[in-house]
Amino acid sequence: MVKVEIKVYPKKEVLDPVGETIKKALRRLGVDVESVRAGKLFTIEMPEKLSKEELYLEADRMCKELLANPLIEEYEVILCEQQ
Amino acid sequence: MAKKRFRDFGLSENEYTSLVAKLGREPTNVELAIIGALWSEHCSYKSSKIYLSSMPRTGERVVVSEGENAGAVELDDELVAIFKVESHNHPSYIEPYQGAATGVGGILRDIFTMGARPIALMDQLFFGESKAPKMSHLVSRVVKGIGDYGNRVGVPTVGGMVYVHRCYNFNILVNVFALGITSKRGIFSSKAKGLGNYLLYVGNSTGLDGVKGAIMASDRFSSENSRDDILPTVQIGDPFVEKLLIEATLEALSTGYVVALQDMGAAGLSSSSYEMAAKGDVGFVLDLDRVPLREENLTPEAIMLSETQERMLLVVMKDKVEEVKNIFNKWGVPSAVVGKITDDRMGKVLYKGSEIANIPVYLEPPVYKRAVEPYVPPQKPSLFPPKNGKEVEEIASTLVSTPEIANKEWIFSQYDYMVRTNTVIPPGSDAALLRIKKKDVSLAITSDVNPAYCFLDPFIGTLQAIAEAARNLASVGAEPLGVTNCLNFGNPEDPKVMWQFARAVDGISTGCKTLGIPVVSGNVSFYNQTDENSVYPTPTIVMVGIKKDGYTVPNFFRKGGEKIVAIGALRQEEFGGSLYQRYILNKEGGRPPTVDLKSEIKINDFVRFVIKKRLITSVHDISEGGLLLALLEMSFPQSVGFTVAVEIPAVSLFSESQGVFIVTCEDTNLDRLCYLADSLNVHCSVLGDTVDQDLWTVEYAEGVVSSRVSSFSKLWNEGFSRYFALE
Amino acid sequence: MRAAVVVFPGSNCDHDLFWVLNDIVGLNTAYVWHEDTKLVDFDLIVLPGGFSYGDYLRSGAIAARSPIMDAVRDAAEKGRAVIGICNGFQILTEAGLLPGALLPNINLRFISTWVYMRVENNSTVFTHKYRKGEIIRMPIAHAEGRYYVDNGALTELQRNGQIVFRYSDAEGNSVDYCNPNGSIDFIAGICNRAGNVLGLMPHPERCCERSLGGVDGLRVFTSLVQCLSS
Repeated sequence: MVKVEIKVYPKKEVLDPVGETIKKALRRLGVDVESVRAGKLFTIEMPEKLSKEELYLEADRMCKELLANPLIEEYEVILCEQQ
Repeated sequence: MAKKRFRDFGLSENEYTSLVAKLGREPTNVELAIIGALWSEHCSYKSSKIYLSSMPRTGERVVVSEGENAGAVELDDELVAIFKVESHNHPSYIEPYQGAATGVGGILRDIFTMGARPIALMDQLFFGESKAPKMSHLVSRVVKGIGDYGNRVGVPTVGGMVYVHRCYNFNILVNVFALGITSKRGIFSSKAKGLGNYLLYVGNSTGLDGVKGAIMASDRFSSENSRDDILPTVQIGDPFVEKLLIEATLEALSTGYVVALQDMGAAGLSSSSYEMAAKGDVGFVLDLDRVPLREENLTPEAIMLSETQERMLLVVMKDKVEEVKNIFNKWGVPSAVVGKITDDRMGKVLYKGSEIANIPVYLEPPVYKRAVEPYVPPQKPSLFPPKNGKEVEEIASTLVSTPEIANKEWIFSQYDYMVRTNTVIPPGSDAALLRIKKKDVSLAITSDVNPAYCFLDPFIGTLQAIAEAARNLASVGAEPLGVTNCLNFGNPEDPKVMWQFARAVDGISTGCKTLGIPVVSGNVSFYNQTDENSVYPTPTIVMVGIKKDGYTVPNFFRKGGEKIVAIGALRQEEFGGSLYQRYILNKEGGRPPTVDLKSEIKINDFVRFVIKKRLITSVHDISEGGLLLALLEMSFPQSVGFTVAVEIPAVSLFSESQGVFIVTCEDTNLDRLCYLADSLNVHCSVLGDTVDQDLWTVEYAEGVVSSRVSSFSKLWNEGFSRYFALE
Repeated sequence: MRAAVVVFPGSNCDHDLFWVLNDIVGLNTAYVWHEDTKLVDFDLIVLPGGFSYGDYLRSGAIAARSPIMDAVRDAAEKGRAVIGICNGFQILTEAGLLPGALLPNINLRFISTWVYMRVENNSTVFTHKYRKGEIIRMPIAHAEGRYYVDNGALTELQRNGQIVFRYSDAEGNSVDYCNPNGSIDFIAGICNRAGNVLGLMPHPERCCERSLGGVDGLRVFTSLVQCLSS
C-alpha cells in the first residue's frame, strides 16, 4: 500500500471564518500568529502497483471530482514514502 | 479469579455473593460484566424502584406506561403519541458536545424503536454559574451538540428550559425529551418472541466507545476519577447514520416482519439482548463472532458492554430476515444476524466457538430501601425591600438579565425548530404547539422544574413543577394527556439525597393524582455529585397535552389599548427559592411558594375556556421573578408598553405567586371576562392597560416605578449570551 | 403535471415538500430515490433540504455525485423546472447546475430564524406571482449558507438578472445586519441563465400555511403550477 496525503484549504481570496476564529483564539493565548487557514487533510491508501505518475494523476482526479471544490478551495498532493 | 474483579464491574461484595447464590456457581468474566451492567443503578433502578411504583400509571388514554422504552398515550381513535425524557448528564460533563449529541440520539431511538416517527425534541439544561470552570465552553458545546444532532436527523427541537445555579458548577445536567407519533396498531414492543427467530444487529460496527458507560453513570465524580481518566469511554454520535436508521427502521417495521426491537443504549448488547428476552420470557443464543466490529481484538466483555452509538437489536421472523436486511441495505445501514431466540429462558453467549456465558435471561437485581434522613432548609433571609422606584427598577433590570429570564434565542436559533412543518408555537413560549397534518388535534409540550424550590422542600417543589407544567399547557389552550419525568439527584447512598428523592416522587404522585394526569415514562439519574457537591434535587417534568382546535393566543402583548387582567390571586410573600433571593439577596431559604392544585384546576379550566371563547388576546403565567417580570416578558416581543397599578408593596412585585395568569383583553370584553370569572369563582383583578409607547409604569402601594421598554428589552435580549460571555 | 422530490440519504425536508406539492397545491407528486437514474415525465424536480450524507466533506458535495444527478442535469437542459432549497441549493452548486458555492455561515453557527428578502426577478417560473421588489418573509435553517462567487461571475449574475432573491430588512433595504450568513451581495437565491433552475437557502415550503407563521412561500409553488400547466 502507498499512502497519499491530500491537503485541501480555502483559497486565499475566500474568507475563512474558521481560520480567523482560531487566529483570534491563538492570539488570546499569547501566541503571535500572523494568519491561520483551516483546511482538511485526507490520508488515502492506494494500491502499490501504481506508478508515481499514476498516483499523482489519480490524486488529482480525486481532488477535482470530489475532495476539493476548485471554485473555493485549493489542494496539494503529497506522496508519502513507503513504510 | 472473577471474585477479584466484581468491583471493576460496579458490583458490591453483597451483590456478588447474591449473584453466586443465584447462579449456584462463580460467574465467568463475561457473565460478571453482563450482570455488573444489568445490575447497575442506571439499568436496574435498584435504589429508586420501591418509590417509583407509587406514581399513577393508568388513565383512559394511556396505551403504554410501563415495561417499554417510552410511554404511549392516545390522541384520537387512531393515533398515539410516544414520549420520554432522559438524562445524559455524566457524558455531557465529560465531553459536552458528544455527550449532549448522543443524548439526543439515544432518546430518539427509544421513540422510533417503538414504531413512532419522532416529530419533536426538547431539552432541559442545568448549568453552573458563569464563573465556574469552563462553564461558557460547556454551555456553547452542549447547545451545539444538541443542535447538530437534532438538526441533522431532521427532528425539530421545539422548546426547553435553562436553569443556572451554583449547585451545577461541577455537574451540569442535560435532559432530552423526544416525542413521536404512530398509529395504535403501529406500536412495537421490546418483548422478544418466537422460537428460532433471528437476532438482527443493525447500525454502526461495535468499537470501544462507552464501554462501561452504564457503570460510570452509576458512580459519582471525584478528584480521583477525574474526567481525564474517563475520557476513553466517551461515545461519538453520528447523526447521519441515525437519520438512516430512523428511515430504515420505520420502513422495516412497516413490513410486519420485525417481532421486537430495542436500542443498544446503556450497556449495549448486554442490556438489549437480556432485557428483550426477559420481557418476552424466552432465551437466546448470541454469537459474538458475528457482531460487526470496528476494531480488532475487542475482548468479549468489551463487545458486550460497548456503547457505540446508533446500533439496535431486532428480533426478526426466521423466514423474513433477508427481506429486512435488504431494507437496511437500501438505506446503507449495515446489518448482521448475530443470534437466535430459544425457549429455555437462558441467555447464551458464544465467542470463538465456545460458550462464554450461560445465565438466566432475568436475574432479579437487588432492590434497596436506602436510608432516608430529612433536613431542615436554611432560614428565610431578610428581604431588604427596595426603598424607592429607582431601586425597584434596578432589581428588575438585574432580574431581566438573568439567564433564567433572558431571551433564550441564542440557544434556539441554533436549533431547527421548524423542520417537518408542524410547529405552530415555536420555542420561547410557555409551551410548544405542534399541529398534526390531516388531523384536527394539536399537541402541546412543556417542561418545568425549579430546583431551588425543590431544595427547600422537595415535595412542594416537585408539586410546583407539575402545577407549572399544567399551567403552561393551559396557556396554549391544551388539556394535559400525560407526564414523563427525569429525576436527577445526587448520591443515593446519602440519606439526605434519598430523602429528597422520596419526597420528590411523592410530589409527582400527589400532583399527578390530584390533576388526573398519568405518568407514562421516566428516567432516574443518580450520582450527580462531585466530591461533596451534590446537585439540588432536579425532578424534570415534561407534560404533553392535546388541543382540539388550532386557535391560540400569544404569550406577549400584541398592541396598546388593551386591558391587563390577573387571573388567580397574587400572593405577597412567596420568596423561598425565588430569583429575588438568588440574585438580589444572594441567599436562599424559607419555604417555596404555596401550591394549591385544587384551585389551579379551576383556573386552568377557566383560561382554556376564555381562549376558546376568544375573550383574551394574550396569556402568560407568573413564574420566576414574579408579577413585574411576567409583565416585562409580555412587553418585549412587540415592544408594547404598559401601565399597571397594584395594591401591593414594591418587593411583592417580585413575589413568585403560583397559579396566576396575566391576560389581556379588548376593552369591550373586560366586563364579560370579569363576570365569567366571578360566576366560576375564579379570582380576577384588573391591573391596568397596555400602551403604544416605549414606556412601562407600575404603581405599587408605596410608590411608582417607570422605565423604557426598549432599554429593558435590550437587557433581556442580551442577558443570556452576556451572562455566559458567549459570542 | 407531475413533480418529483428527490430523496438523498440525509434529506429531511422531503416530506415537507411532498406535503406542500401534493396536498396544498395539488400536484401529482412522487419521491425519487437518489440511486435511480431516470426522471421521466416529471415537469418539476425538487431537491429538498436536509443534510445529505451528513454534510460530510462539503455540504451537498457527495449528493451532487449520486446517480440521479445525471437525470437532473438532463431535465434541466431540456428546460424542465428544477428547484433546490437549502441543501438542495448546495447540491445544485456542487453539481455545477448553478454557479458559486455555499460556505459556512460567517458566525460559524447554525442559524434558524425568519428573514426578509426582496424579490429581484419575478420573470421566472418560480416567481411570477410575486411583484418585482416585493418584500417577503421566509424561514432559514442552515449552517452553510454563505453564498460565494468570484467577481467576474457575480457581474454575470447581476447582468443576466440571475439574482432572484436578496436578503433585506422589512423595508427592503439590504443593510449588513439583515445578511444572516454573510452572503456576497446579499444573495439568498439565484437561477441559471435560462431561468428554469432555482436555488435558494430560505425555505418557501415552511411558510405556505398561516398557522405556521406566514404564507410568503406559497407563491413559489402556485407560480409553478400555473406556468407548468399552461
